[in-house]
Amino acid sequence: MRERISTLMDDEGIESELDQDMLRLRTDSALRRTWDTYHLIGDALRGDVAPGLCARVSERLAAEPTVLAPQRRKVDAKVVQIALSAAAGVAGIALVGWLALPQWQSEPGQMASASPPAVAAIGVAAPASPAPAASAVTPAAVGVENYLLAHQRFSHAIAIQGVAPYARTVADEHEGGAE
Amino acid sequence: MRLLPGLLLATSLLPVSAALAESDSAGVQWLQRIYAASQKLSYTGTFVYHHDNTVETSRITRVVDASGPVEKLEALDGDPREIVRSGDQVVCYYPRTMTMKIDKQSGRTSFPVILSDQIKELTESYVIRTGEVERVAGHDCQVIVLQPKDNLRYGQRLCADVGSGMLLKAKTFNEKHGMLEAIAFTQIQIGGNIDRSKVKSRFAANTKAWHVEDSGAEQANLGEAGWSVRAQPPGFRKIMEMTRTLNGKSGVGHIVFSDGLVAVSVFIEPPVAHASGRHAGLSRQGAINIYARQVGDHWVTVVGEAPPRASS
Repeated sequence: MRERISTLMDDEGIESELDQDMLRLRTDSALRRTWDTYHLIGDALRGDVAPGLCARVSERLAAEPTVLAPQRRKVDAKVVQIALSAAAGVAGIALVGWLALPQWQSEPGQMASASPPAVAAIGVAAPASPAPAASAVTPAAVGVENYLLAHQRFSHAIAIQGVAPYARTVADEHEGGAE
Repeated sequence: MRLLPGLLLATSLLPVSAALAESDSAGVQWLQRIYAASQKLSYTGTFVYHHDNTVETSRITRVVDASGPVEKLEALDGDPREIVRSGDQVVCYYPRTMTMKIDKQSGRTSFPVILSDQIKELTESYVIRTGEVERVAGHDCQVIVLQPKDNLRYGQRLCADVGSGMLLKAKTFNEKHGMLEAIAFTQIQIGGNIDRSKVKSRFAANTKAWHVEDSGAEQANLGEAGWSVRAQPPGFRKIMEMTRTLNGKSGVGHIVFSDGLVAVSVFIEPPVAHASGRHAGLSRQGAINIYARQVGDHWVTVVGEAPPRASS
């Protein structure tokens, strides 16, 4: 039936079958979820979801306290790269949140001299960017280890084509515990 | 794709030195050698995973014989946990919570092949060069550095056994050369006689009363459904689309992008009536970034060992 959904979404359905398909969509909730998900993915990939949402999130974050003030400017200069990324819609959704990534808080052994060009860029970038928010540095998803688990099979795939990346999952379970 | 107007200028000021350098052919050959070794070698050893001022020790064993490769990862610190991968199935054992998680990928055929092909394309995204020869876990090993040409990925410093091509150390660093995470063997036996019982979980026989979570992963032809990425990020390609059961919810969409070295997953969850207890936000572990947010009725979660701007 998934093929039928895609056919429907591409407007390539045969007229005589259309009513029947629509009826199934109306009555089958699992099918409808698939339909919804396909649409959301499509919207996200096309970037249709992002702009409005992004602005709203920006506003909300801007109103919240800044916790990483000294670091945020470095991050700002890189934000533009999001626009180049795959699934740019999803990127747009993520954009604001990513600004507050704790990874920028401290980088032991970093070479201070390596970043002057980025610093030079900040003056341009900063006004367009919201401040990181306190809420944004809290742990994200419920059951994070399950997302990691699902993801790890694709991780560092050529580097250690084995179970080594799963060490991250193990670590996560250890630290955060199961939900 | 939209660019934020105020930020356009900023890109032009970013360092371009990495993009001007050239990869050396020895570096690429080494990557191919590492990949080939990872496919055919049997080994057993202990390695440390270092991230965020934390060091965790694990034992890893891989046995390749006529019935195919089987691997086991066993946590040596904290609660006992084991992960066994055989063929397209990954089983995780958590004895403390008496939970067994199964992830079986049906219809997964092209993944490793694609990655093999992608090694050549890596030079478009990274400057790949060989470095000095070091010693890791008692083995002479060749350093290979992958310096990203853009801000969409992290840098990698790999170190592979000169004799076998086995990867003994991998370090991920950001553009300021700050280390995000590292995996390094402290002891390893490569090849030789490794008993197949070493890749069996010691909990496997006693899981009758355990809680089983099955991912029910199933390839979904979202591509056939007309979904296409109109602006592929340079060097990344979509390698997998599927639906799976995640955290007890079925029908979760999962799309994977990879540049041949690292991957980014996008999870899209169907609407749920009660989304309470969840909050949007970020978390990070080592080089892995995780971001979750509610979009309408859906939850979108992005996971990747790439900088936030690429995890998109």
